[in-house]
Amino acid sequence: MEKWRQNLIAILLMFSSILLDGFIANTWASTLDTSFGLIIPRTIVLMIIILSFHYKEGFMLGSAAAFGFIMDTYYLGFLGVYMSSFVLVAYLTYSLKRVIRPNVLSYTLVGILGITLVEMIAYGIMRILTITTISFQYFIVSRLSATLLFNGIVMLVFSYFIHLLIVNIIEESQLR
Amino acid sequence: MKQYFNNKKLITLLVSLMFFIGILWYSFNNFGSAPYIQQVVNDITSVAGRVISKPVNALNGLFSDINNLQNTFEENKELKAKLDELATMQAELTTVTSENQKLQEELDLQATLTDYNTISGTVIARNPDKWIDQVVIDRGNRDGLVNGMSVMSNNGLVGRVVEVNPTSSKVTLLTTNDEAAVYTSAEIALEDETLFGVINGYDTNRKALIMEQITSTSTIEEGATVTSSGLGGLVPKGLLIGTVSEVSLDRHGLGQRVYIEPATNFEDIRFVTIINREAETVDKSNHSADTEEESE
Repeated sequence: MEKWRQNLIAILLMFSSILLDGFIANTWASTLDTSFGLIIPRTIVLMIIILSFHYKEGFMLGSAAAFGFIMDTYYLGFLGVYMSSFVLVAYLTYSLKRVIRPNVLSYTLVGILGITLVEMIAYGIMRILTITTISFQYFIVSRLSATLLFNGIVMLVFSYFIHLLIVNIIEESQLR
Repeated sequence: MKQYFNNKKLITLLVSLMFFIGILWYSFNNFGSAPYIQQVVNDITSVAGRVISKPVNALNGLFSDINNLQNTFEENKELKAKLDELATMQAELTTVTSENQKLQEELDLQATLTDYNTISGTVIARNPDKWIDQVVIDRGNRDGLVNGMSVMSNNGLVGRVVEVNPTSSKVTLLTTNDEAAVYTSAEIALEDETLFGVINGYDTNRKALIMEQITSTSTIEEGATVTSSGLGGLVPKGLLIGTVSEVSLDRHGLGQRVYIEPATNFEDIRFVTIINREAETVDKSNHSADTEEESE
């Protein structure tokens, strides 16, 4: 029963992150289009990374696929882009957690790797589907750099609080 | 050879890869007609999205109201000056409207290209990745929306409905990367003639829409108004798109390329008006063929 509560909180956190990304993109659209590139809010990726450090692999891979599906269908309109990349991010985090301990710096490092992976996959698919024609160099300069900077700072600032919240929930569940 | 097939991870990876490519191919080819499960997920997510967007829109509205209040005195003076002009225009408009009505009756036109009715909606969320610049709105097929309807915001054309669910829809904006989604037939009314062309892109550096395939070599002045021409079969005639901000040669150096400053700020779209064209609308398959021909 406690496991169920623990998993429900993780699902709610991921669902809120998906809505938060769309909300930030809509409310601060002009602010996100900066002189040094376009910032893409990726709080869902950051949340998947933090949760993957604490939850079981099977649950996180399944959740990453499910929330990738929601991201694809709700925002994009076609499936496969985020479904595949979120699963890869969860798998990457799970592989890395064997060698690094969860703390603010390791979250930020994996966050940067994960967002790079998601952005590269999204760019590759959009190029293949001819939705965009921008070159790889332009993509790095105009989108990736600003996105990494923004999300890296978000991870650096907020990961500690999310970490505390998750650790408390897991400890509470174990005590009961 | 045996070791490869015994490798569970490799098999899982291959099967997953094939699965993701498969669903990507299937869903991309059926873009705009989401299966039932996708519609359910979209609607459930949009309900949660509304919980966030409604209070934030109200709060934003309050701030802009306060901002507007500060300019009220200046605006009031300007408006009073325009009031006399307005009375003359009103009289003129009444005459023209009744004349227009009589002429239409005479010609027995039931639904001209300019006739449309409107449905109001609120923006719930925006696609964060911006590869496809789309917004999600709180109106769906229960409100009468269908694919291809034009969408306006702040009195300017902003995009087109591309996916309709029962209680929510997706609108692709004219600023999107995908050129095919942007194609809109437009016209520039000059003093002595009307120029027709196609809006086929958005310049992110200039923050301006691009109009090409212009039918004439006449000089186009900056500041001229650009409206929809109603000739593409989807968008009604007369919707304001923007004003001409720059004129140059197109990429081949043969025709004119017009940069249009949009009438709407694409970075602040909170409320939308969906336009339901009354004149006969071409179906989507014919439209895509038309736009391909136009682009050639």
